[in-house]
Amino acid sequence: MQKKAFYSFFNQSKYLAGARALEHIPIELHSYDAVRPLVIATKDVTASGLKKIFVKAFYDSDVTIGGFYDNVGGTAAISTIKELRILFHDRGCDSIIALGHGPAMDTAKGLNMLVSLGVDDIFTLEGEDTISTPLKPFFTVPTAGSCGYDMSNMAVIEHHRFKSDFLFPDVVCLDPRMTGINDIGRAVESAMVALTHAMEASDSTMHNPMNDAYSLAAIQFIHENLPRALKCPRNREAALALAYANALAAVAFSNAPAGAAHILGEALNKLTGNDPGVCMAILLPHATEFMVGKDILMRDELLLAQAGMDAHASTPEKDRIKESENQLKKLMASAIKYVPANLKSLRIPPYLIEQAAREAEASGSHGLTFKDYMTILNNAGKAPAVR
Amino acid sequence: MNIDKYPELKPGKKYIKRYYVAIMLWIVGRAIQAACRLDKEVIKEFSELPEKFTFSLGVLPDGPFMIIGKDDKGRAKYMGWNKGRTRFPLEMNIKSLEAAIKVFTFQEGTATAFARERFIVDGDLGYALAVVRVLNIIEVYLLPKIITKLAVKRYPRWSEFSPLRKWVNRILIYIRAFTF
Amino acid sequence: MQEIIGTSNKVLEVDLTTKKFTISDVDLKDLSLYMGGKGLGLKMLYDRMPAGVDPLGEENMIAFMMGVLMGTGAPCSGRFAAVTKSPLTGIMASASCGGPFGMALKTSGWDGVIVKGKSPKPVMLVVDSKGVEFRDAGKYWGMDTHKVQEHLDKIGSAVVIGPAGENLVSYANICSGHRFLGRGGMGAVMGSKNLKAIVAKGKEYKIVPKNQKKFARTRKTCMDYINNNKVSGNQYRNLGTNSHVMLSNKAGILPVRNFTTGSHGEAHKVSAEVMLTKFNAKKSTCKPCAILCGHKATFGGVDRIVPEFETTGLFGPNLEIFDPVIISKWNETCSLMGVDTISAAGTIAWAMEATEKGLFKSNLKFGCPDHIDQTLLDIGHAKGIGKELGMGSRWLSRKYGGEDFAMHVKGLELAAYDPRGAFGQGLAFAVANRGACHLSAAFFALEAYLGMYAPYTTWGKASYTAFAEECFDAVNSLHICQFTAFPVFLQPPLIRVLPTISLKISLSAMAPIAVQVMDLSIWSKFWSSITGIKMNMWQMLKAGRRIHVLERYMNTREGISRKDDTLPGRLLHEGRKSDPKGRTVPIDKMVPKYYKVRGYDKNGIPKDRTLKKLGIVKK
Repeated sequence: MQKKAFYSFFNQSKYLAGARALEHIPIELHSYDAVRPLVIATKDVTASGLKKIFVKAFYDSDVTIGGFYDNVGGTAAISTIKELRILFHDRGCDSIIALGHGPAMDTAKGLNMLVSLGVDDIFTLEGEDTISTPLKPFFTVPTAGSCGYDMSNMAVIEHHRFKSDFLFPDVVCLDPRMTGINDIGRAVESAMVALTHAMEASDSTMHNPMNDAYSLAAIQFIHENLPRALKCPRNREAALALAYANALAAVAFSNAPAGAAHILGEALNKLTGNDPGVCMAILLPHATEFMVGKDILMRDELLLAQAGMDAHASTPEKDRIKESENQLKKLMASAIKYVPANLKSLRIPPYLIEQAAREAEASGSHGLTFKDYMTILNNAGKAPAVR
Repeated sequence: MNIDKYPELKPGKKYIKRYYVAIMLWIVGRAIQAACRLDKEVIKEFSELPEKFTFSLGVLPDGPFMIIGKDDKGRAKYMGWNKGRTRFPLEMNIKSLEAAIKVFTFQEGTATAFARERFIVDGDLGYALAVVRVLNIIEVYLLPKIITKLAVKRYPRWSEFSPLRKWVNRILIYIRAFTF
Repeated sequence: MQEIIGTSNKVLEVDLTTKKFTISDVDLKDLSLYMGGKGLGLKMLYDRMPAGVDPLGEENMIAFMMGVLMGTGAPCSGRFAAVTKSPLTGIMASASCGGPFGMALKTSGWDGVIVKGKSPKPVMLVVDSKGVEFRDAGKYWGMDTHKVQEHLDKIGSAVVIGPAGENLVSYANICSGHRFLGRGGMGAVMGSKNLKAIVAKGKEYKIVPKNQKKFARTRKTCMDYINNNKVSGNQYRNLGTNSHVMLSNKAGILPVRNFTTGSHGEAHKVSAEVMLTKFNAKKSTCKPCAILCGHKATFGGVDRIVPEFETTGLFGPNLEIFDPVIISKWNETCSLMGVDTISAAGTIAWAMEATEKGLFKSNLKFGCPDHIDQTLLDIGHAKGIGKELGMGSRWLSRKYGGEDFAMHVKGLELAAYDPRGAFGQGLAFAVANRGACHLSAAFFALEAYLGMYAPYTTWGKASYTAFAEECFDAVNSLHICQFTAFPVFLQPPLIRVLPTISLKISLSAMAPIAVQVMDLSIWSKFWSSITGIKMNMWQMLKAGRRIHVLERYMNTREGISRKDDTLPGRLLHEGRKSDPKGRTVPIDKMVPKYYKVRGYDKNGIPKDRTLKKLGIVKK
């Protein structure tokens, strides 16, 4: 039991998970007195046939879908959100369902802020804890490629960050029909984001038993199921498990500060356009190693989550942290086809690497300096591939 | 944005599944009525329920339903499938048609369905459990063992449920359910 | 005057840090493989510059390369190329300019000059046949491009930067005469080196082709083609490139209100006809030009250069402004400041829309000409709002949001053609090496103007794009004006007698085979008659392919891959308001086919065997 002076933990979401979970949505909407949701989906949802499955789940219910907007592109755009507001009011909708990943979720959260709070300029709500009243019922149905921000208390709209406990979805629906993997590359990238969030939440100086329950479970799910999904992307069980991991990691991330790998990954994504999951995956082992080197607490429970009871019990206590790092590297190596071994493979010019370190330092998290970030980046730059 | 490109979607109907569940509920309802005149355990369960007790078992939001009531003689009576606006002392509702299909195609037993929150129970929990016990007995009568084992938590042993009792009552229940 | 037979094959290499210069001999093998101009410049930088350099750092180099045609009197040959690493995009950029510097440097006896390092103080280079003299440029620092050239005219012809280049504006350009090395922020590269100008004295050598008879024959044929072609001999000559305004408006590819729609009822107010007839236009072009697309006119009592189409389109309908007088004023301000008009207008359009949406604070509004001139001055001087606007729309959208309507590819702002009305142009924008370049394959002309390709299909677009890129890379390495493509493609006798439909079908279905019907040998004949080295049309196209793939390979070393070969969100997710079908560009269907044609892997990286086949040694 960790000795902590004080911590707080919050998660608002109800989880519907497993076979035919989608069909529970109408009754859950009823519990919020909602009968007319507006559904916001990413483009690939219709193309991959998931729209049909989703709409069929509402058959024999008394819920009418007020509109099914499936044209969300690569990012959550303010113009889309404002247009959706018109659709929302025109159809008399009373709730919002986000279907898909990232941009659809952020768009839905942005719309919810607009229609619930009656503001005209959403950016006045930018920042942390600026929302003080509950929003309209908001459900999410993540698909593969949903990376865990989606089910958190955060939204990113036009590079503006919004964080509030009221942004947690009311219901998260994880149905195996929706979480099946079409694009293994994207599934790996989103799993890496989730893993980074979970590991950095569990390692953070603010970790606590509540958050650990989520973060360690997420780590376990990813370590067990990502290799299975890589071996056979059609494995629905593994895909669903990764979806669980994303959901768990999102909650952990919502209740912990962002770690070094996350901050650097985001900075590199902003500067180079490389996928943040790939960047975070490359950086995570080195950020972790750096933290150990700085004697920032790393916990041996991680090994239990990563490798199971047998490995944990058979490893001497003093070696568990090292073994935990090895497990992480082994996991990264298994995904080598989608996550390069080092930053050099991404061919990011040195001057952009320096710029990323400067931006990371400016973010102020963790108290790490430019030199610290450069050490992590340089180590990640030249790491050999693990075989 | 042209909002007409994103029309509202009214919920459709799954007719075949609906009719299947309706038929199953009708059979179960009629079977309960028949069993209440034949099986001593069912008679005992019903005798412990209050006078003029009624309950409904069905699928949200609007059916199909099965309504069972206790008549003047204290026996179960199948009272139809249309709930209307009536509120019953015990309402056991399955949250969706798909969940009902899972129950009535025996992919999930009743107890499993309860544990997986497929049901919403509105009323006294004790009465609900009595109804579940009655349903278990009915399933033993109506279905072959291989299927009943999927539906119930524990198939009764020979010592608890003799083959003679099972087969005689099974024939009589089938006759009564489908005739008068 | 002395003579140079063919080319001098001598390039000056200047180090501003040590204030020294050396003379390099051009390897004849490289000349054969890369032709000169852009191609040779790329190869020389590839050999000298490591990957990953900071574009505004000392290690970056900028090469000004003349091409073998410069100085020979070949029609439309008064253009030179520059190659460097762009501060706007972070990848290789090349540009072409018709200013007088090219002729002056060539007739000083040099085929090019490569500059590296950084001077501690503002400096200018004076070049003659003996070499380079380093002179202090402190008194010119801060001067606009016209003023400084007035001062330097007595020495020779120059390439100069304006205040924008000095202030490291990401899309600062380099000026020579009244022409520009426009795209990619080359002016900022010079500015980062504290290099204000390079002046060439010129007139010391006469350039004589090796095979004068062949050259003369080729020249005559080329002139005939140019004069008889309806585009080069009539449309551009008489109306200039602003003839594209009404053609684009009709085809629905005119950018309006930051590419929200593709046509506008007031477009005629900025058309070529109005620009030229209302404002008393006269010809004003590069020398020696046979097409004469440039014009000068009197706008509001002031003599100014008539803006060419990109400027008109992007400062005009794209900002919902339909006043040619004010557009010409902005063109002049950009010219004085040394700012690329395409990137400036594209960034201002982003700023207008972002302001409307509450993402950015400015006083810029669509349809309102107020504050734009001051904004351009502020961009040039990196002052106030201009400091951030000078970083380009990609940087701004990454900071403030609005990435969906930041109309750039790889950081380079889109030219004035809406690819939702010409899918092939969309592919060309997405895969062009330097970013959203309209000149890399110039597909819009065939789809929207000449009706050679169906605009709303993806069929045949990948193979034609690849062919056109090779063609124009060869043209930019010769170096000759790209507008000669119209006569060269369309004037050969066989093309003129074939029915248009057969050309249409063959171009769509089999671009490499259709090429056989065209006679591109005019270009290769020019090159071989001047250098004396044999080169046929196929070898020329292969050289173009080599140049293109080398540039791509250099870019992949900077991190470019599949994720960058795409279009802005607006073009992928939103239809034009003028298009009832709301069509968007199906880029994901075209890019994989293009990679296959090019010999790239699925990430857009040139395969080893592609590089080997073209003789490009990996570094």
